[in-house]
Amino acid sequence: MKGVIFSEFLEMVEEEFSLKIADRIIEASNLESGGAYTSVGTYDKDEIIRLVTQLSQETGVEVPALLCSFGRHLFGRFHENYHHFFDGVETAFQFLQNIEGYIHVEVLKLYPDAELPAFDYESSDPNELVMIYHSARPFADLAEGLIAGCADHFGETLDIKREDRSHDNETCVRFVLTKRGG
Amino acid sequence: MSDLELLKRKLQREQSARKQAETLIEQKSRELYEANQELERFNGELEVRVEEATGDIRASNETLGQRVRELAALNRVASAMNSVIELDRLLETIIDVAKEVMNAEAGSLLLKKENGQLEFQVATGPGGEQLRKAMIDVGRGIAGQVAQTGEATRIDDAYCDHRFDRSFDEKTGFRTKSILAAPIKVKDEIIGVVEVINKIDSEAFNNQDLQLFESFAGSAGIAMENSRLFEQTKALAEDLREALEQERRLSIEKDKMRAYIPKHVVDNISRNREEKLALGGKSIRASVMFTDIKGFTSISEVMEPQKVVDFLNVYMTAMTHIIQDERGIVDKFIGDGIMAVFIPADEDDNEALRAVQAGIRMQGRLAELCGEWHKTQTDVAQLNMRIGINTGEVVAGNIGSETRMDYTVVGDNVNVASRIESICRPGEVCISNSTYDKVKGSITADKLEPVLVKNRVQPVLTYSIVVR
Repeated sequence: MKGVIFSEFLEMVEEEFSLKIADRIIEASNLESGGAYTSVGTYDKDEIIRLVTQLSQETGVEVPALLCSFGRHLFGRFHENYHHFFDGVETAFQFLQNIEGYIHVEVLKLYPDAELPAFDYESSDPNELVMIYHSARPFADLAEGLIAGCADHFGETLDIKREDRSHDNETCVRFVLTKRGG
Repeated sequence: MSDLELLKRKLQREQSARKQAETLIEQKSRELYEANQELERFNGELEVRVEEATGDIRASNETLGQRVRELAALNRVASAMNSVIELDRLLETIIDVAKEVMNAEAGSLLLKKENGQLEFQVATGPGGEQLRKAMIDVGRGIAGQVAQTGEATRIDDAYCDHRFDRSFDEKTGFRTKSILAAPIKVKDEIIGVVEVINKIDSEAFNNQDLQLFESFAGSAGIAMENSRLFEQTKALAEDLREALEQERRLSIEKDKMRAYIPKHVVDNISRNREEKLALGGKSIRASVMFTDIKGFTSISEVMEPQKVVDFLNVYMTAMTHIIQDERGIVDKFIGDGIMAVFIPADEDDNEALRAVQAGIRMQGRLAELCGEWHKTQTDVAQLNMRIGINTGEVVAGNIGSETRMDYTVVGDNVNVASRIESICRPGEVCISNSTYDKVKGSITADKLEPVLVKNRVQPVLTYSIVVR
């Protein structure tokens, strides 16, 4: 997993909680990297799981809620650093539908070794978008946080329903997104 | 733990992260450098390959362009040359086109003559007229060598080539520099040489020019052969036309002749028509018949002229029919008389018997006609005819002048036949002793008193045929 995810996570912990908690979860997680992350590096995904788990224990907030919050945070950072992906995009659905065919393609150009999740789309109603998340990692909550962050960014309110279809080693979640008031 | 301590630990982590980043960046830089090196090497290779491919394409394009220009030129050459059929004009056209296509100052065309030498048929450019009809030996000079070897040649500087014969330049004042010479071949036989002299837009001709010129010479050979074949065909067509015209004229003549002489004689003449008709004759055996109507002259004097003609036409037609039926030839009509000749078809043919049988039939036919005329034309109903026949050697041939000749028989035996007819009694067929000798087994005849004949010392024995 790219180092930027770790550094953004720790940054969020420092912002949302405190430097002290960030330090504590790093120390408690017994990380191979020692909690020193550079955005250009690549680290074991288990380290983020251990950090999130430690944060949950430290704060009493459930892991899914933490990952979801991290997703919202991450989307904001994404907008700051990669604003060109937003050019000409006016709605959350437009942006979300660009993830698989455009954004992931560009990410892979920059980081050929990046292990990205995949999305399938289903859409028959302009007010509804179905995104099916596939990943070898258990980060559907992070994906939900990103979707929610996207809706926040475009000033939209989306009802997000989840249907877990995970099996064996694959996490598969069907997100049904409905525009509220649409 | 104090905030300072926390910040210190965070700083340590960040320094560690920076070191990782530096290491990674260094590693990536190295990778990037290596990739860049690889890319530059690949670019270099690619440039070389592109250059090679571009060179190949350029060379191919140039070759293709040159070939297209050559084919276009040859097409123009073939088209121009094939539009000219007459040989002299064709040769001039070949040189004109050769000069134009090869961009040459002058040109010449030499043809091999029967004596084996080459003759300048066409020579253009300064002093060209002086070369026309000049002869050179095969093997001598550039053209002579090309005619000898059958191989085209390119000379860049004629005065440096030992084969070049300067005498023509000295004669004409022309300065030959570069030359292309190619053999003109027809079915692998060298019939001549074509040359172009002095390339106009450069110092000399190149090998592509030589190849083009060889192709040009090939086209010229084809055009010349076509011209020869055309002339030959034209001559044959003219001969055929004349032959057909001759045949048509002969056919008309033949039809005309049939009115006067028997068909088998006409056919015989036709079969031998290759022999030119000429005055003269040859001695043959024949039986000659003369007929005459007794007293017709005095009767005709009182008859209307038209009636005389009508009577004679009926009478002559009837008699002629019998004579021809017996394969005799009506030689001529003499007033109301007839001279007929019976010629043996071969050694076994008894033409005397045919003549006698004709005479007997003619007397019988006249009797029938008189019977018919008895009712309508009483003035000719009592007519009688005399017939005299003699057999012997006569001279047969064309007698008369170059412009007007008759095929007839003449000689002493003809005169004897005429004499016998004159002493013959009306209604009788008189024959000479020589005729009798040939028919006596078949015909009954009464011997008559011998008669004297002009130019004969001994009287001629005659016989009268008993006409039943």
